[in-house]
Amino acid sequence: MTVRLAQDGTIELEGACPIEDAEALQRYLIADPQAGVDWRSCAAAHAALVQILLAAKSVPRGPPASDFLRTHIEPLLKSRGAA
Amino acid sequence: MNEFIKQFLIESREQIEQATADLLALEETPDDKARLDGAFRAFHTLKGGAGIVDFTAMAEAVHAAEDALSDARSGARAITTVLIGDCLRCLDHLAKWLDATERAGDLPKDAEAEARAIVARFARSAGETSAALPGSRPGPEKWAEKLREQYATLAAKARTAIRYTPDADCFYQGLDPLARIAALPGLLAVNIEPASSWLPLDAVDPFTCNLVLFALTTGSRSEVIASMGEAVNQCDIDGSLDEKRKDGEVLAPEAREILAEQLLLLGEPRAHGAPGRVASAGIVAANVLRNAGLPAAANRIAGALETALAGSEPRYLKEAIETVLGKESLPEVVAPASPATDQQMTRQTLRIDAARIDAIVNLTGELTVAKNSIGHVAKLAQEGGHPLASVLKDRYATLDRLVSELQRSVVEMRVVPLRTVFERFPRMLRELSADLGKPARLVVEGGETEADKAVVEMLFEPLLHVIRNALDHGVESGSTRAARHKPAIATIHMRAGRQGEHVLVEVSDDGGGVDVARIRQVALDRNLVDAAILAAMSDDQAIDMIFEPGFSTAKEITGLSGRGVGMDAVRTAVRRLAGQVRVESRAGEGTTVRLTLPYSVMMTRVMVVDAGEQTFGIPLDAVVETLRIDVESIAPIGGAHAIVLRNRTIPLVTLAGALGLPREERPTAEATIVVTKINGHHGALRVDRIGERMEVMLKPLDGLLGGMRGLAGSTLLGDGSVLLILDLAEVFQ
Repeated sequence: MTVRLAQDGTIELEGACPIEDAEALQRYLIADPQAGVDWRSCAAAHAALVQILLAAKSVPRGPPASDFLRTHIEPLLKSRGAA
Repeated sequence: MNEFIKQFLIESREQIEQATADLLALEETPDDKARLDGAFRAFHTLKGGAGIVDFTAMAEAVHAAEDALSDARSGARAITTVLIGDCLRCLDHLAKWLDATERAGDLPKDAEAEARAIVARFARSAGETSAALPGSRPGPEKWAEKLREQYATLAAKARTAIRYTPDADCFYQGLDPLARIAALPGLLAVNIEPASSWLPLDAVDPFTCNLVLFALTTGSRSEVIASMGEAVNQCDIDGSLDEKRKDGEVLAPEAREILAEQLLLLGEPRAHGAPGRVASAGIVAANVLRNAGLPAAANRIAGALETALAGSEPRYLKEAIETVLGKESLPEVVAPASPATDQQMTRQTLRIDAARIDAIVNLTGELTVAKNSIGHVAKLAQEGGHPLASVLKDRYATLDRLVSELQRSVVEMRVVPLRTVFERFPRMLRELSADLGKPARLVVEGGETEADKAVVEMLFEPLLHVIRNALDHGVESGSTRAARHKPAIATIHMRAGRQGEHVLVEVSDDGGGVDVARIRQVALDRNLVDAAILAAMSDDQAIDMIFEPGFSTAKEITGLSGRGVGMDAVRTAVRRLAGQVRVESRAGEGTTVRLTLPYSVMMTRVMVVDAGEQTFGIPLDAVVETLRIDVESIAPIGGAHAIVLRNRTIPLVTLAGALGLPREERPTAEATIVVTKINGHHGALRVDRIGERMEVMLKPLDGLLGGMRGLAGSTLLGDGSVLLILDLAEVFQ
């Protein structure tokens, strides 16, 4: 599983997250809207996951492990997030 | 299918036609309030209907279009080609869904995803006032400007801006739009917006894409196109900064696309018609550049075209176009699917004027009375002693009158206005004219003319060929038109009118007319006709050859305008309806194609003739006169025969011989002749005997007889025997 729930309730994204993870991510976020997302080990994320993060206005704990996510996606999530 | 849905299908199709007509008119005159209101109302009604039958996806899609039009009514949104194009595309989807619903009883599975894409498209174009209507020069697009403002520092380095709206169901297709963006060369900045505003998290479908992705890159337009692959269809690419930087001149993205298309055309494997293709690509490219205000580049292309044609080397032209495009070879651009031209599905429903039904109800009443009176006659016959014959004759006359009236009424019920088929053409012409780069408008007259449903429905295809031909071959290129002092926008007239038992449909263009010399040459090149015969042909006869199978004027190039569609398809279709087609051409002024069709395919007046001990019917339309002549006056000419009538030599065919029947060998002093006129040509038919004339219900032949030459159909006679009706055009061939 590339998306999993850590013991402290944090949702962790790890490695290359495929489209299937979007549903799990959404489920976790619905179950606990306050849960933090940690994508520091995330090397790639399918658009479906980014879509869920945007819809949830979630600002994951970063920086993520890929240049693309770090340079282009993280700032977006930050500017849209919980603000 | 339940009655509700049936009714819904009928009404929705009417609304789609209405909306299409209004939208197209609106495009011509964007400030026409009435048309805007009309289109809005049509969408509104469509939405209501979709709601009643619970077609949620359709209701959503229509709702988006309705909203957009509502904004346009209040002035909040400009009426642009983009808006009208989006609305028309929405209607295309609706028409497709309705057809699917008719087949399967419900909306197709992918309707929901398509509806979402439609909604996204309207959301996307909201607030934009770019892509202005013809006349104004397309500048950089609004979204691109906004993007550059957003990333002002990076934008200075950017060459190309991309807006990528993936299909809503793209996740299902295994696509990752973000990966596509990440793979863009020289990526500077990325932005992501929801296509339609975010729903609460628990209502979001994680597998439906609701994203619009924006990017700025240092890559060139062509690099971006290459990198996006097939997703390029869902992209808007603005490379205006790039072009400004390179040329110091602006070549609009549309112009670049047209040039790129010409490259594709040239890149296709050498197929038959290649020189035509090269010539067309060159001419189009030169025109585009000339229109873009780059005459020098246009001349370079024209020069390269000559070199290419002289040496049969399309390479020269290809290179010249590539140079203009900035020495970038462009990857394959997948052309967007052209809108439904295959709406050919014949519809089984008919809407009938209540007055026509009333007339039939009245007739049934009268028929009942007539039937009763015959019962009375039977009783009289039983009692005897009455002058039965005269009473019977009298009753027969009454019944005869009623039955003919009933027949006519039933035929009338099948009558529909030609408008139903004409209405599809303004839209078609809009696409064709854009595809061919020849601006044109369609003027339709006489749409209220009526004809049998079968005739009207069959008309679409031949008319489509004729219009394509008019635009493709008739209308000259922009520069030629300018040189001939013709308006830049070509006019194609489509007229219909009733003439006796016939319906006339004319399509005329204001183009260059048919190039007779060229037709003669092509006919010779393709061995369609003997040189001696060709020399003896009048221009009219030569022009008529365009209807021959295998004759398709060589410029079957455009790729977009239906390759290899010859006029023979037109004649075949028209003949199937027992109609005729003629072409009139005025050199330099235009061409008129005239279709003469029967008002009704069901009723035909025939003359009965005997030949080879069998009886046949000849359509009375084709009969000029009947006469008896001295056998001696039949002159043999080569292997054939002819007669001279009023100083005119007319070819003579013995019907029995032509049909391969045994011939009456009894020598007679006189011959019975039927003089006919088909497609303007006279012919004499020798028969054994001429019988009565009658009105019959013609049934087309099928099964074994279907493929038989010389026969048009059959009908049942009063004594139960079958009368075969001849197809004279085939008999004389």
